[in-house]
Amino acid sequence: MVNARLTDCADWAKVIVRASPDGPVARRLTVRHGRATWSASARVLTVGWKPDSWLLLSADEPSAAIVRHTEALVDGEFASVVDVTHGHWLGRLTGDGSTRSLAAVCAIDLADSATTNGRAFRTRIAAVTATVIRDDDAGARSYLVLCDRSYGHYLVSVLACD
Amino acid sequence: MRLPPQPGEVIDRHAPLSFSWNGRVYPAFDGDTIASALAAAGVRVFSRSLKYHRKRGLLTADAHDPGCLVQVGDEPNVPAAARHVADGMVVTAQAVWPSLRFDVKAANQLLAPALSAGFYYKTFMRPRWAWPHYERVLRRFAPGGRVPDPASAAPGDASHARYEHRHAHPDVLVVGGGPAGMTAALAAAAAGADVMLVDDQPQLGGHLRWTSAAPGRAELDRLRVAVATGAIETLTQAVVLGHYEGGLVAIVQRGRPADHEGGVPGRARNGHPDVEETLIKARPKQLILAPGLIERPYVVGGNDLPGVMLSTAVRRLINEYAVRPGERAVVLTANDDGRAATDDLERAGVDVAAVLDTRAGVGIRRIRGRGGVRSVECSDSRVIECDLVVTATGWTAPTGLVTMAGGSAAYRPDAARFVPTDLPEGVYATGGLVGDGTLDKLIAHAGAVGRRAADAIRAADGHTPLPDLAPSPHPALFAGPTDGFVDLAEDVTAHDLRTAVAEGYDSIELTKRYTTVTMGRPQGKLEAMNAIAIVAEATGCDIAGTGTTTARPPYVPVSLGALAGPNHHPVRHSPMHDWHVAHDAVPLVAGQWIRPDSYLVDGRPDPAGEVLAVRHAVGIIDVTPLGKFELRGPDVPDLLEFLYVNKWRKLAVGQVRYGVMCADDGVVFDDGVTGRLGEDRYLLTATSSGADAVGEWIERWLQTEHRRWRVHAIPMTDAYASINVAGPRSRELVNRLASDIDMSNEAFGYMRVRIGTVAGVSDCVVWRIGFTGELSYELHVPSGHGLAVWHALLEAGADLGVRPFGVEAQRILRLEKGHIIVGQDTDGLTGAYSAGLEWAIKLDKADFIGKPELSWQRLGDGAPELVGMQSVDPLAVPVEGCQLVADGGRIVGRVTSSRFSPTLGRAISMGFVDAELSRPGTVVAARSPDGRRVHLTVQPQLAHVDPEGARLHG
Repeated sequence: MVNARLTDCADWAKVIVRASPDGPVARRLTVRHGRATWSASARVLTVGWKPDSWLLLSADEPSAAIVRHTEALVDGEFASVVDVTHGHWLGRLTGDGSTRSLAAVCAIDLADSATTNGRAFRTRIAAVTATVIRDDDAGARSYLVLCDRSYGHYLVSVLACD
Repeated sequence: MRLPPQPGEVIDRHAPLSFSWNGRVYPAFDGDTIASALAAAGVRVFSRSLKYHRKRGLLTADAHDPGCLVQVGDEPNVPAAARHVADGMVVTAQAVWPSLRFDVKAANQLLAPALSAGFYYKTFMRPRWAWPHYERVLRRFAPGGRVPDPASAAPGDASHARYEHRHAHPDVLVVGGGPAGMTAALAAAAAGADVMLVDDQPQLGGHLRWTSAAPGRAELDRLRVAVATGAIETLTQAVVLGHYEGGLVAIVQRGRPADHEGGVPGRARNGHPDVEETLIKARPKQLILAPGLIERPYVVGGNDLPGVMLSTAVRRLINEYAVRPGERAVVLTANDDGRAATDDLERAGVDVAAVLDTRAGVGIRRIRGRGGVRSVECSDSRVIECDLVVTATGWTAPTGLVTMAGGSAAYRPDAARFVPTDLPEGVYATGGLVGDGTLDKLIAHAGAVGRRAADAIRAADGHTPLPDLAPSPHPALFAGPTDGFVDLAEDVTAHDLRTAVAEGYDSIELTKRYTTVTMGRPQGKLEAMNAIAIVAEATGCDIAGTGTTTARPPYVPVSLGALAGPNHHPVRHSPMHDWHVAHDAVPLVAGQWIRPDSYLVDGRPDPAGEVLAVRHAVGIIDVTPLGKFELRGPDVPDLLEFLYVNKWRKLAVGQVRYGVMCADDGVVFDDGVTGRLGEDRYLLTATSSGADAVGEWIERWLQTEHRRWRVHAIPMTDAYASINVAGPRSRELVNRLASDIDMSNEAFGYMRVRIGTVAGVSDCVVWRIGFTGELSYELHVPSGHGLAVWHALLEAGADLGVRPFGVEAQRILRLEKGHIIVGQDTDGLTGAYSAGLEWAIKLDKADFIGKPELSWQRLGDGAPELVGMQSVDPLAVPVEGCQLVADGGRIVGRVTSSRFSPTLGRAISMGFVDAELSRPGTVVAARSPDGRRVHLTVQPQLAHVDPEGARLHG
């Protein structure tokens, strides 16, 4: 049996920020592409999603508040802040066996040396484009997995641990 | 034939099993292979050969054995010398009739002169008309077992087996679990590397598994314990299939965790308990090859008789399975392994009649027998009666992985084998593959290799020196004075090879293809070296000059199930999917989406009823798969002008416009509507099937040709649940739920968009469009609220006669209205003018994708035109996709869409016809696949219902 637990986090707030990769908004968000960092209050996880895109995730903050707060960072620069809470499924895979569960369907090297805590990458999981964020939970190995909402049922069936 | 307990035996005598072989029940112990259990019961014949149907027995007693492929249940081509017995297992011989003992097909031996090398290139060619008859007969002689019929397979059958895939990224992958492989793995792990160790046997140990010598067994125990307690992932019963581009190494592992626990305590890592095989896609940073050596057979007359075995085979049988391989043996040896085998045979109580050491100048002229070994004719003319001939005539180094990885191998005449000579960076070799020596010497070399691989991971400065390890001298002994079988899997003899060379196939690659030598299950591991030697002798070239055949993956045969892996076919569901299922929706697979095709009424689909509900009252359809993109930025009008053939600059906030996209060649690429939601905010829709392509198309242009445009395109397909509300009473229905939108015709006209609250859900995008040809509104609701709004619409519209409708009804409705579906009514060659979209193309725009080509297309004439058609016989519906023909059968077009219209009570269709036949009133014939013809009259316009658009604008 694989020791991993999948938790549905689909109701987390999700906001996309699009801006120049080297502009003021990027500097204010402070998170580089491929990294994920929790805010000081540990309420919002900022993910460097694509070179010119960030994803803000939160279980505690409503999306409207995140949008408002983020729009305040935009000072004349061309940037877009869009609430995509309803557009994505989000799940958390936690436990010693989470890496093995993910390795069955994902080709990325998940070893500590390659995927440290706080790394984020887009990849294919069981033939679905997804974003994986290594976000250890109270010392336990944990991954957040994000995909288009319509694939949620399917990915749950793939990742659900026996 | 079962011996008393042996020091290295792998069977559990406390766990007796039973299984059947050709209908008769045999005993076995847990740990027995099918072959060892049958051999213990005195069975000597396991199969019939491929071409001549000669009796075949054990030769190597391992997975490469060409003589013991069997059928297990419904699984064909199982290597009996590698597959463990399971209690109740049903095992049968393959491709024999009526029985293994008496096989009628053995009559082929009488035809041997006609079945020589390349016979299939020379026979069955004439008369050509007879080939189907030849084929029917030849199929009866096809080798192999019975492929299972999935339809009749029961749980537990091979066709129900579970296969998994997984990825691995070890620092160091060690191929081969013998003493060298284990030592290399331990050394690399001790230096801090993450190590994976792969071996094809159930237990680690390599050649030490069948040694009876105490020092060897002690060393084996030490290494096994060290590996089991070390930080090494060990995969037993696992074979490396090949080395691929980018350093990918494919490994297939057979068996459930329980199969591994006995051999490798505590290190079993296979996943699900029911998994039959797992394909591991490993990308190691360093690769260590330690596959050991493979003993090769000796080519001499009678060498395929049951009772002729390699020295390693008899040592396996005696030491691992406690089976006495015969009663009276003759041993032919060219090295010390023959002596070791002799010792084991004598210890097992076998009467060793003679040891013929070729180094002393004696050998075998011929092996005699009928259905089994009876005697040996020696080179000194002695004839020795025996039932077992053991050969120890040399070793082949399996260099296939070396060459697959980009290295090379060269022939060493002094050692009579190929050895690796050039290894690419990150690839190492150790053990018997490199050279021979004492166990201590092998271990010293392997340890250094393991440390060197670990150093490379850490980019350590130190460079561990490698001790010398070179092949020992060995006589070049490949074939005797009489012709025997070179390839026992393919029934290729030494005579066949010489014939091929005489006929001009004098390159080893050509000889291989002409004779099929090395093309059977062992894939050259046993027979390649002998074949090369015989071809070299026949051509007068030396072995080094003759070279080898090319090693290609897979290293061993692999099941299709393992390659296919688990069934990962993504499906997409809308937020209303569960409602559709609960309400008897007939599922339609539309790409990855599962959509309602229609809803059952009294157990039957009723798309016609759904159409009439829309035409006379109101219907709702889930159109969530519609591609949706939010476009933001001041330069969105520039982007829209560029993407679409029509104009966009004057699109005001609150307006919606239909647009057509063409590719550079003027071919229709996609279509949809785009609404302007705010000053710099737009919502663009694409076809459901084209959503991904349109997203890539937009990004391509924004990221390449027009990087200065300030536009962000954000995919929103899944962010909105989309519901189309259509029908004359749709306004009334939406008005009941839209709390802050003025739904009057004056305030919210056709092709307008509003953002508001629907059924209490804010931020809904509502636009008034009309794909069905009816007054209709499309609601784009934040997905999490989609089901609630769907429920609210059904509840609020109950008194209006609201009814859900599916994709089939939608397709009928749009065909009645004459709206095209890109991809259905167009194809990869349909230009925008042909598709009747001339009204949309604005060549006076500065630039847009496809403009140059469309400018040229406009000047041309004679292109087929898309027209509406109605059947002369109103009940005759032409088949979609069928050809339109004119007098004489000339093809003049095709039907792209056709349905029976419930609204009109007649068949309607749409299709392309040659320009000269596009005039209204022209009659053309649709030719169905069954030859039936349906006559169709070309209509004045595409629309069959409401061509004036009164319903849309009402």
